[in-house]
Amino acid sequence: MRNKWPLLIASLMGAFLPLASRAQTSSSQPADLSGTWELDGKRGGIGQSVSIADPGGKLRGKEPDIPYQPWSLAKTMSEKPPTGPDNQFDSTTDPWINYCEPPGLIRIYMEPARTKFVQTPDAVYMLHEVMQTFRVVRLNSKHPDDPDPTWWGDSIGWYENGNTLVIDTIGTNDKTWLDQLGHPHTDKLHLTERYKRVNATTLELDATIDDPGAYTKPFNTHRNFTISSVPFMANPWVCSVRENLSFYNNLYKPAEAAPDKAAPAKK
Amino acid sequence: MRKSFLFVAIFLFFAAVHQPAEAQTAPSSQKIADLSGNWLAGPAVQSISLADPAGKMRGKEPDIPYQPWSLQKTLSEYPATGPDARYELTTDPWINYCEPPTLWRAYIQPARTIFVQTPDAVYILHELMQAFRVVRLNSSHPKDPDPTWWGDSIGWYENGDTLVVDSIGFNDKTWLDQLGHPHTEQLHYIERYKRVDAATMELEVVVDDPGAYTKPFTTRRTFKQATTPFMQDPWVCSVRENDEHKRTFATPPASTPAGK
Repeated sequence: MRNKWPLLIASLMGAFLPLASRAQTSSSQPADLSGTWELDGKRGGIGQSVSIADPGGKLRGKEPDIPYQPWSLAKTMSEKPPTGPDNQFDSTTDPWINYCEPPGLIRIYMEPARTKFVQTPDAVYMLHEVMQTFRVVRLNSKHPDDPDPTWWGDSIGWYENGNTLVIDTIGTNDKTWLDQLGHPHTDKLHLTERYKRVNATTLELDATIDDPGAYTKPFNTHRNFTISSVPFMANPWVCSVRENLSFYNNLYKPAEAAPDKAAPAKK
Repeated sequence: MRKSFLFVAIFLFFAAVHQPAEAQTAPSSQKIADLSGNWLAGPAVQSISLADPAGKMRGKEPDIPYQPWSLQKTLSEYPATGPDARYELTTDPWINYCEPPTLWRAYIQPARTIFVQTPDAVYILHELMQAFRVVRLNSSHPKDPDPTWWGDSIGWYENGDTLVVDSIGFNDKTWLDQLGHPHTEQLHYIERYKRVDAATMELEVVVDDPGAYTKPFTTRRTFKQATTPFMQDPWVCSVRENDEHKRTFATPPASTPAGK
């Protein structure tokens, strides 16, 4: 062949075509968060508390890693949790049990229920079996200047390292608990979540709770997830105050009950 | 000429094997309807009845084929809104217990809905209750599904412009609309969401519940693209806030949102 240039050009064009169809840079390559995720029973399980030092809630009010302000300590200790070592289900002050108010950020991951991430180019939709509710994480976006406080706040996100979704949330109201124990937060909460796909069956959440209205400094919490063998939404959790009351009247057992058996009615 | 042919052949070869991963390969009979957008149903209604959307003829609607018990049940309810509203005495399980306003009722309030379409499922996301439904594609119902609030939904596409959603497996605890029309666990609920044009979607529903009605009946709803961004104004229920609402208002206007 005398003229090799057409063949060379054709080969180079073929090789570069796939790169042209993927315009994202490596710093924004989407992480693959597909799958049905549940709390990993072999690595911490459900837990009761945002405290990494005291996940079971035995040191409520004395956790070395919760930087309480005086009022947030008093508020925590004034609550009557529905589950955990200090549980008082029959007289709980839990707004989820009593009023079907949402369990809210972080606390959504303290039940034996599953979560799914539906990823699109513009947003990630986090679907939770708990409350059969969802969060919207806008990608390529920013927070409004002065968001109205809502139960789940305003969430924006981006990808890091090809394996992590970072979610930045502000604009929450102050009505939810951070966990089963009643740790409060204010509408100054700034929550940063990092969901890292470690391998095919493992997802890890590292979150930073930065709430200068309730805590003297930011602190971290952590959740471990694994792929569930139960299909997503085979067992949805829909709240009913009427059924929560019935659950208490008919089925409540004292403190020996496992925490997940004392959860609100699901169907 | 032979070299030119070789050039084109090589180019076409690489173009073919490097198609974008998201290319859709559904057969033409299952061409996917585009339900993208931020949908708001209108105009305001109270009832599932097409003949009486405002609810002025509760119990006497010519298109609701009541059984005697379902008529009695309907008239025994105190709606929270509409012509027969008694908010402070309402028997509405949504207001009183934050039980979900499902299916038709999800489209009665001025709240928005989006459809997130994937190859295996369509996720219907409602601002109302910040709740979602899963519509499994390429699937079938379980033989004997446990009754749930939102039922078990499977779906398929028709004519390239319609998503059909077929749902069974409901409990009997929700109202079909604001007026208290009941249903039973025998409900078989069929929805057809048709994309009419860029700004319009129409929903046609067949309510087939031999436990509550003497025959299936049909209703319809029209959606337009909303100008308010999705989830800018979420509706989250709180019994505490609903109770406060009852103390504040005797009988609020028909369109008062509950539990926002």
